[in-house]
Amino acid sequence: MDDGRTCPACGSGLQPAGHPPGDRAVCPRCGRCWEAGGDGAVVDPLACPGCERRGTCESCPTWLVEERSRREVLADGQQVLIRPLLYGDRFELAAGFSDLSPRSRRHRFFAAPDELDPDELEYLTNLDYRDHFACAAVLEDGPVPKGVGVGRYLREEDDPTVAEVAVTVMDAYQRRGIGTLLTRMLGEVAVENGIRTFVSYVQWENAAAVELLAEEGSRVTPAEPGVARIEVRLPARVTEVPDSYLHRLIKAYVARVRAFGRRDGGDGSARDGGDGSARDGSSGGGSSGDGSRAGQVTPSERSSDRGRPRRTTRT
Amino acid sequence: MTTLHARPTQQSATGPEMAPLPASAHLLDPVIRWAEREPGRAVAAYREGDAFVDVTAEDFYGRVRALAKGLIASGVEPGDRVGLMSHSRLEWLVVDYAILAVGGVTVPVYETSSPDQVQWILSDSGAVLALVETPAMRAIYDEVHASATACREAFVIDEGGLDELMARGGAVDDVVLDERIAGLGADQLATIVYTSGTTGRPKGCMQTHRNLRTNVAQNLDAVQSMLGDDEVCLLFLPLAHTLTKLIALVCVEWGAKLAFATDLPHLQEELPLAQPTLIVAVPRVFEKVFNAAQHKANAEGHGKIFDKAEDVAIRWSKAKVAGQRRPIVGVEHAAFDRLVYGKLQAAFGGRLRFAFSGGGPLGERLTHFFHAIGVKIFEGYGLTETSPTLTLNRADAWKPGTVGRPLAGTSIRIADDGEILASGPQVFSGYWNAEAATAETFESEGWFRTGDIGEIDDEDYLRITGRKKELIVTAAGKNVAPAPLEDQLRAHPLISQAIVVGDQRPFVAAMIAVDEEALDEWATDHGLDDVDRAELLGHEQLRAELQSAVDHANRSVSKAESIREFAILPRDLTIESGELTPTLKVRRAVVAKAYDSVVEDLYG
Repeated sequence: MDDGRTCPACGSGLQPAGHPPGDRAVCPRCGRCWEAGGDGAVVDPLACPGCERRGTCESCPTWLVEERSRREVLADGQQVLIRPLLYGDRFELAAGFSDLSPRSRRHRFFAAPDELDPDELEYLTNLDYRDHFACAAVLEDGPVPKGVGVGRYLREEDDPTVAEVAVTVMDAYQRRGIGTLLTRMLGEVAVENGIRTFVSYVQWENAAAVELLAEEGSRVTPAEPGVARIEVRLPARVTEVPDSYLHRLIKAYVARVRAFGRRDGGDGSARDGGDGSARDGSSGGGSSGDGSRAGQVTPSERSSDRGRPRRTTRT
Repeated sequence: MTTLHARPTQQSATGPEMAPLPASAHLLDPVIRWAEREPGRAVAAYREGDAFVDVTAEDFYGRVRALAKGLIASGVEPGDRVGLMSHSRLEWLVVDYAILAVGGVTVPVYETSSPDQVQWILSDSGAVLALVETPAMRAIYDEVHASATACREAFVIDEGGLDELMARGGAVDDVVLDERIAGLGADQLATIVYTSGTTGRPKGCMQTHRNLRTNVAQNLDAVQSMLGDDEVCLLFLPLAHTLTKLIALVCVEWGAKLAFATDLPHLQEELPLAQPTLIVAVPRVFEKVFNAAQHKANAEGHGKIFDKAEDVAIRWSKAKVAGQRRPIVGVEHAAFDRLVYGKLQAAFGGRLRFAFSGGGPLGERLTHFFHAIGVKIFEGYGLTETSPTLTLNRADAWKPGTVGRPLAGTSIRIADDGEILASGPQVFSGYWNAEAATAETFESEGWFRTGDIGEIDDEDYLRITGRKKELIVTAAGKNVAPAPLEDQLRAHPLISQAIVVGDQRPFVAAMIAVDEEALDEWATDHGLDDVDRAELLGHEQLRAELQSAVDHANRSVSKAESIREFAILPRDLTIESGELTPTLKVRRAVVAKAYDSVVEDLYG
């Protein structure tokens, strides 16, 4: 696929998509498909970028997107979609990484180059969703869905009950609760996959991330100069959440996304395939948590779940 | 913040009580006291020809006064800052006391500082006058003078600058100076010492007469029982470093003779000449002495004897510290004393009894070893911000492997996240011209945040276990922030990744990964297309190119903080090797270790 081609709709450079890449080119900005027979239609946000199937493909993460996608509302009223990261997100991930401030890049990688190289990008987006799981935070209220954060865990080789966690939120969106939401999803998925302990390495200077990850009962120890090692025990299993009402809401939401299919349809909030389309990916590396506890409460929780523990995982 | 540590309780320790210093006390007090009480006492010495020449208390104070009058004649008013850039020598101390005598504030500048740093320190402190040691330093001063606006003049010590000042002061009445001295008080600012943080410009730590004089008393309280009337201290570290300066002040207070070593290369020669009873050193010095002795023993075929001697030394010291009687070890110790230990003692001049160590951690074994050869090393802990000592192994409470108990009047607390917090009369009041940084460095209840992580054991000894700041501390005790250096290196198109290492090592080195694409282009541009990659990475021209990037980055730091050597990484960092975590975070310590062979080569 020619990398040099531009999107006739918005002028952005087209990017190859799919897994393996090469049979489609999509515009990372407006999410349209132009190559290999594509007529500029918006790509189905929930279709597997590899096989184009959707919904129940067991070899693809699409089913996970449906099962896991979750709309949340931050304390400041901002709606945000938290969904698994997809392979097709890698271009936006790369772009997001470059957009991060040097400080945030440093917080994420401790000594970070200006951009991710293709190997790193491949490593960070070629997920198996069990041993390596990542999720993205996506804002859908702009003309193009915008990835603003990414969280991931990787199971450790020596001890399969332990995984390392890294969470990054774009600079302008830090300290609003997005990191908390990402971390929560990581915790839920990790528990289901038999992970009992999250470990993360965070620069002390990155106070927001230390605050986000170091909760009651966590163990914080000094690693090398400037770096804290934070160990958090996860609960043995996920119980309360998603509670029935929330679950129903997600189901309804997924159904709605399904319904609007390739053309626009859906309601205002999900136009243009905004619900976590493969292209709105997630933004990249950087760092830093956003430690505030904003955004934990979805409208559903607010209305119906008083008195129940809001959080199942302690991450 | 939520509870970070699974600590059962909050830990803290407090030193013995201490009466506050009277408000009229100041740093000139001991200088004047010795000059009046024992004018003939040798308080300092400097190398001349083949011997050290003594300076009496009367002479020393006389020089201070003459120079102080020169400063008054040059318009230095109380509160004015005066820059002092020189290596450690008698004149350093004379100038410092002269500045203090007129109510001024000494702003020390490391002799190895880069022009950028000199410019920043002089302009930020608003120094009105500068005293520099050499014509080369004068050249740096001239280069940056335009931007150090408050600075009116500079004097070169090596070119008779002090004589010139003293001559100027000839017309100043002694009464004028006496009035200035009488006006001194404990809470006046004595010095502003610039320290580099992890980011941004160096910050000026404001130390008052009280901070320093109190810390002198606190240190003396801890070691006094070991001090006699004929102590000699050989100084060879920069007085711009607060620990060296403080030990010099301790010597002046106690009346110990301060001998100034010519420079480091002459140290070996001058130790027997000066025959010090105490020194202040960084761990590297002790390591070097030990390694040299071991090396020599091996070379002479006595390696086994040396190893045995080392083993006995450590067992002897441990038994002694624990208060155990181990007659056999005692006999062995006595035997090796003649064979091995005595020679090491002789290398130090033959009279050395104790040493202060700071700037970095000293190995526990080394401490025990030197104890057995008759040199008790007092390892302590503190920062420039704490003038500097907070905790110290005392003569009567000495635990190798720890940095001792809190000094008199000092409290240490471990915060929830493990950070060491401190309070005491030696803790500074803040950074010069930097209110935000000052506010950040004190927590809500007024405790000073050290940025280090530690534990207090059940006997109140502090142990340092980590560092919150991303700082490299070299074996020479220099703090270097890796991030700004790495950022500058990475700005070079050929460099894709740079990792600066050097923690507890003799100097700072950089591990550089070369950008593949840029390397191809570069090879084409330089007609090196046919050269294979491995050869290319070792190519002279490439090294020269990278050296220029290193030189560029070094411009912002002093020689002691600069990247002395660099190595080109033969491959990318990997997760398998542990250099990267699974989420691709760089583990600097592992990288440093993995390349230690390269680095050790560099370190020679």
